[in-house]
Order: sequence, then C-alpha cells, then structure tokens
Amino acid sequence: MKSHPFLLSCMFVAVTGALTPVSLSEQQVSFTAGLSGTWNIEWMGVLNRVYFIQWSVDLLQWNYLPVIEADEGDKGFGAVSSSDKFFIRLHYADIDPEDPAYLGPENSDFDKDGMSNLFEVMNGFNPFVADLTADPDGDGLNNVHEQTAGTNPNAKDNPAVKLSVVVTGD
Amino acid sequence: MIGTDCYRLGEILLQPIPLTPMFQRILCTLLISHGLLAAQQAPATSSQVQPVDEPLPLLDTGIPGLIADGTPAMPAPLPEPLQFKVKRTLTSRRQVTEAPEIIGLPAVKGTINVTVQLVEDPGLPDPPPPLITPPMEESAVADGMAELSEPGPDFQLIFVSATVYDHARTYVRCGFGTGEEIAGWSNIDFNHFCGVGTYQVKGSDGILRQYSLMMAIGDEYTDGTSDELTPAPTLPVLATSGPAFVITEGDTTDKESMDMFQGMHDLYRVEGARMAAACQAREVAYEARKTYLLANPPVPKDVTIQFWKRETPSPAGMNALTKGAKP
Repeated sequence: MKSHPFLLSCMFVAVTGALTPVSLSEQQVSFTAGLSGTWNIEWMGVLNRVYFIQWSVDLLQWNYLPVIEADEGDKGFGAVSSSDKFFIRLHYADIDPEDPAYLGPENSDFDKDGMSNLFEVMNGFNPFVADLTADPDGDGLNNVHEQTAGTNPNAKDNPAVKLSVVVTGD
Repeated sequence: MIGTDCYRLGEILLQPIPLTPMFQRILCTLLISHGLLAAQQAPATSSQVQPVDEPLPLLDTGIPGLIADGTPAMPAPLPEPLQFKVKRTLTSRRQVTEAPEIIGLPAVKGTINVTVQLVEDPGLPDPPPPLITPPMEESAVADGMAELSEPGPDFQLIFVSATVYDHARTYVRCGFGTGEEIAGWSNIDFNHFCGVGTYQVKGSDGILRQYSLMMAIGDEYTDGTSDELTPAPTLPVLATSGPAFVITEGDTTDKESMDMFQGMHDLYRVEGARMAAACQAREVAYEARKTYLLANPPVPKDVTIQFWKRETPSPAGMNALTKGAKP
C-alpha cells in the first residue's frame, strides 16, 4: 500500500536547551493539508523561545531545516516531499534574554561549539551538539575553521592557500 | 459504503513488527469489540444446528459490483508538480532501511540522497475552510444525528471475527457493534469473504437487506503448520452440500442476528463461486507480486524536501490552533 505523501507524517514538540518543563497544553502546533500535496505547519510563538524545525524520513535520524524562528507571533511554514514517509517536529529552547551569552536566535551558540545557531542549521549541523571538530567534507578544515573562512563545510571549496617559503643562509 | 472491509492483518501492517498469530489476534481484538481468543474456543454446547438446506428466495441476493481479485487499484492522480524558486539546497547521503512491501521479504536497504531545499513561498491558495459544525444544541441537528445513528431496517454494518481452520471450517463471531454477539461454526472458508465490502440478501420475509462487512480474519491449521500451537478444536458435523452453520453462542431468538448469520450463508450460496474465484485470484496475484519483488528487489528512492516560510500562516492551521487554545 502506498500512502498519500505525508500521510504518515507526524508532528510533536520536543524540549531541549534551557530546559523548562512544558505541559501538554502548551503544545500548540498544527499540521494541515495544503493544496497540491503540500502541508502547512503553524504554531503560536512564545516570548523568549527559539524554535527549530526538524525533519526525518525514518524517525531515527533527525536533521534541522535551515531556519530559525523566535518569540511571539503566528509562525507558518509550508512543505512538500517526494517521499511517502516524511516527518516533521518542532524543537525549541527557552532562553534568558538577560543572559549576556544570548546574542539573538541566530547569532547565539547554544551548544557553545564556536559555531552560531544559524551557521549550524544552514549547513545541516545540530545546534545542540558540539560538533566543531567535525569535517564533513573531508577537506582538512573543521567546521569552525570553515565558518571563520566563510567556506562551505559540506564542500571542498577551500580558499587558495598562499605558501611562502623563505630561504636564508649562505 | 465501507471502503476497506477485510483486514488480513499479516498483509497490511508495516514491518518490522513480527506478526505472530498471537499478535494478529491482539490486533483483531483492537479492531473489533471482542477478543478473538475467545472466538477460538471450541463450542461448549451446540444450542442450535441449522443446516441451510431449504432453497431460499435468492432473487436480488448478491454482491453489487466487483470483488477484489488482487488487480492493483488505479493509482491516485499525482498533483501537478510545483515550481519553486530555490534559495538554498542541502544534500546529504544516508543509509535507509524500509519495510518490505510483503512480509517475509527482505527489507529494502540502500543509500539515498536526501535533498532539502529552502524555497520561496509559492503563494499557493489556501484550501477552502472546513465546514462549520452546527451546534448540537439545536434540536434539528440532534434529531438528524439521532436519525443517522439509527440503523435502517434495510442496511446494517456488521462486525465479524473469523478464525478459519484448515480452510474448511470457520468459527465466526459477529454482531452489530452493540455488544450483543452471536457466534458459531460455519463450513464456509471465510477467506472468501475478504474483498467483499457490501452485499445484499433477500430474506425469507421478502425484505432486501444490505450489509456492510467489517471483518478481522485469521487462519489456523490443526496439523501444526501454524506458527502458534493451537489446540485443535472439536469441529462440528456440518452439512457438506452447501453452506451450513451451527450457532454455539448468543441469543438464537434474536431475529436480526439470525438473519445476519443466515444471510452470509445465503449470500455464499449465490456468490460463493465468484467469491472463491476472487480469493484464488488474490492468492495468485499475491504470489506473482512476491515472485516479482524477489526477482526485482526494490531500492529506496532519493528524497527531495522543499519547504518555505509562509507569508501568512494558513487559516486552517491557525483555526486548528485556536480550537486547541490554552486553558
């Protein structure tokens, strides 16, 4: 049986980061069918909360979509997948705006690995797991160095390295 | 009309849950309002033997339309592919393991590319808003609901739990979902009822009744070929020429229940050959598909996910959120 795209999709809320117990009544996420096989994801933002969207095709491996939302307001995303199994869940962290380490939802570094939240999700990394030493493209530059150099950590696009050799002596 | 009528559990569930006969029975119990294990018990007493010998007025008794014979259904039309303006693309490779289409075949394994694309909002129109539920307090609504919930005299939804022994005898437990049930042995292989959703029977009273069938079914083999050790039941002696049954549990004075039980056998007398042929065709199609999948093992397909931030949240989604408002 081949189910309709997204038919098996689900959505639920996970809590990580600055952990605060969340009651079920606060899980305000909707997942509704749109046109042309698309699906809509909506939720009501809460002040001092940073939101990430995760996706999975097998409920085992979860990855982050390259977006970050924060604070109050009605949030809405659309999605469509070529797979008949596709899962989405919302992942959020409560933050303390008075914390000097908090630099905003995108510039903060929740896992303190030297890479900003935005850089991590834009490159498919986990902003809640320190993976600064990882080198997914195997180019010899780890993720932090790639961020500093402004290069793509998933592609071997290192800038040309100028090698200077000074020979001294007689 | 009920769309899917027969739950052959071993074929509809997703792997990797091993489907032992016991597990099938647990699921049967969930699907219907009684336990199938009880249905396997040998009859304590035979309260009524009622072979169907007398020919009944069979005019108009039958199954409207085709019986599912394993022919694949026409796939639903795919929606028009959307055109997106891609803002960012991330591609990763990953190992995936998917459940096989048919239980018992190897899992579908492989490495796929998963491409995630952040795209611009395509600006799709929102689906029409859901219909507003009228308040139940209105008397007209309440009257209408009461009328709808009342089974009509000529249409009934029946729930059947069937355990087929050796494809020769079936212990059948059925009811109308009200808690009252009737059970007994039949000499019909109820596997032949799979694929039958709705049928009609003209009873001896001349009334044409239509039934929609919800059935949970399992097979048992008393020679020990089943996975589970099943105590061999004491099979009753039933007429060998034509459909026959014996009621072992339930109120045999309840006319509706007896009509239902009788009706299934009347139906089989008329449509049995077609039902058996369809069942055989399903088995052939199943084996053919299995052979094909073994010869052509499927590979998992690449996945592309596109998502976008909506300019404005969808009204349907926000409506759902509002309905589940915080206390």
